[in-house]
Order: sequence, then structure tokens, then C-alpha cells
Amino acid sequence: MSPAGGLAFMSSWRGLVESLSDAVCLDSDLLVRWKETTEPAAGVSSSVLRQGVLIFSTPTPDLATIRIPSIDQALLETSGPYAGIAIDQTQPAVIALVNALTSGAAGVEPCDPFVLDLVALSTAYVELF
Amino acid sequence: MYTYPAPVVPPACVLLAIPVELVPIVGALFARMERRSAWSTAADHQLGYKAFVELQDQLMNACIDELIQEIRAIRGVKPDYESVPVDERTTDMYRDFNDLIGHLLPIIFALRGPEDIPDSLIEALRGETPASATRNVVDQLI
Repeated sequence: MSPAGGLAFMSSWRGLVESLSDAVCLDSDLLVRWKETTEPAAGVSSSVLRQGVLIFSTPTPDLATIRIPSIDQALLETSGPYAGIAIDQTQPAVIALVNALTSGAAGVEPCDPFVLDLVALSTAYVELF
Repeated sequence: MYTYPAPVVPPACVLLAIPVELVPIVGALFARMERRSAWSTAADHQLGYKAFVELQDQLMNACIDELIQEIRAIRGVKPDYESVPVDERTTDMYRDFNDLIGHLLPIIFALRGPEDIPDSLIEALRGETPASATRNVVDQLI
């Protein structure tokens, strides 16, 4: 299903539910799930407690976060005051993700939880939960 | 759940020095406040989300180092220490503001002309004599 098709489905589904309810619908979410049919073993160095956080500016102007589970530690800077903490923004994989988030990919441009576009990367580093 | 507090008027903040090695842990603590479940209402969540993402962004600004460098840039390095790398300089390698005033005084005197400079003016420029409604540096220069 295309993103546009998903939105159309959600709109029609919302109308069907509203006709059965006294409540007023303020917003609705469409979840798109992806799952391996056969689960592979976890990566040797993966950790659910380690996240990469990419902080983007938004037009308001405000800031918004995008999180990468178990960020690859090879992407962290190796020198300077933030060695081992800051994500190296010159890495091709990082550049590709940032471009996709700010310019869109496959016809979809992501936004923050308050429907504001992601404009430019402000900073990126690792957080430990 | 939290209600976003009313802003203090006039705005005030706290400057907190966080060791860099704690940034990933402190950032994660701030990140918990991004969740909708941390806040009472949607409006509180929107304000709280913005505030705590801003705090996470500030963790990467090395703000105190930048402030110190800005202040040192205003003071200017003493000539004897210009060859010392910036990150190896200590505070005594920079001019203090009395040095700066000492350098400025001859320039001001030269611009004013050959007349004798009253002691009271010199004391005022050095900050040794407080200004008042009837005694200030501008009046004495005119």
C-alpha cells in the first residue's frame, strides 16, 4: 500500500468508527509494521540500551529527535572532546539518512510528533538508557 | 505526569557543568521527558518535548568552553604567549581589563590634545572614582 493509499484508508476507516461513537475524533495514527519472518540472532555488539539520537531543527523554529536503535559504534567520532559520543556526520550512511529525513524518500517526508518538517541536522550523538 | 510550569518572568536559567563522559547518560535521562506519557496534557507534552530536546541539543554545545574562549578573545593574549597553542594557554596568559584600560588611556589622551589631563579623569577612567550625576567621564572629556 502506498502512503497516499494508507492515508485514504485511514480517512475512510475513521469515518466508519465515528458513526458508531459519541466521541469526537481529533487525530488518528497509521502504523506501518515490518518484521522478519524468521528472526536472526542478535548482533554481537548490539544493545537495546544504546541509541543514536539525531536532533533536527524544525521550521517553528524548534528541535525534534530521530532515534537509531543500537547505533553502530564505528560511526562515532574517534577524536576531539566528544570522541566516542558524537556521531560522525561525514559518514556516508549518516549523510544518506539525514538527506532522506530532510528531503524525503520514496515519496514520503518525515515530520516530528507535532507535524513539523525536519529541516536540518543540528547535532547527533549516542545516548545510553 | 507533569504539567509544564509557567515561565519565570524575567526569564532565568541555570548553568550546569556536565562532564562530557556523562553526556550519553544525561541525554537519555532528558529523552525520557519526550514521551507523551510523561505529561498531563497534549499541550504540556508539546512544550515539554521542545524543552527537553533543546536540553539534549545543548549537551553537544560545549557551552562553557565557548564562553571562556569568547571572554579570552575579548581580553586578548599577551604578546609573550602568542606562540602557545590556544588549548594550552592559562588565564594569566591573557590581558586583564586593567591592562586594556592602560593601553586605551594614551590613545584617549592623544585624541584629546596636548592639554593636561586632570587626575580626576584618570581616576574615573581607571574605575577608581565612581561616576555620579554631577561627575562623569563624558563631561570631563568635553
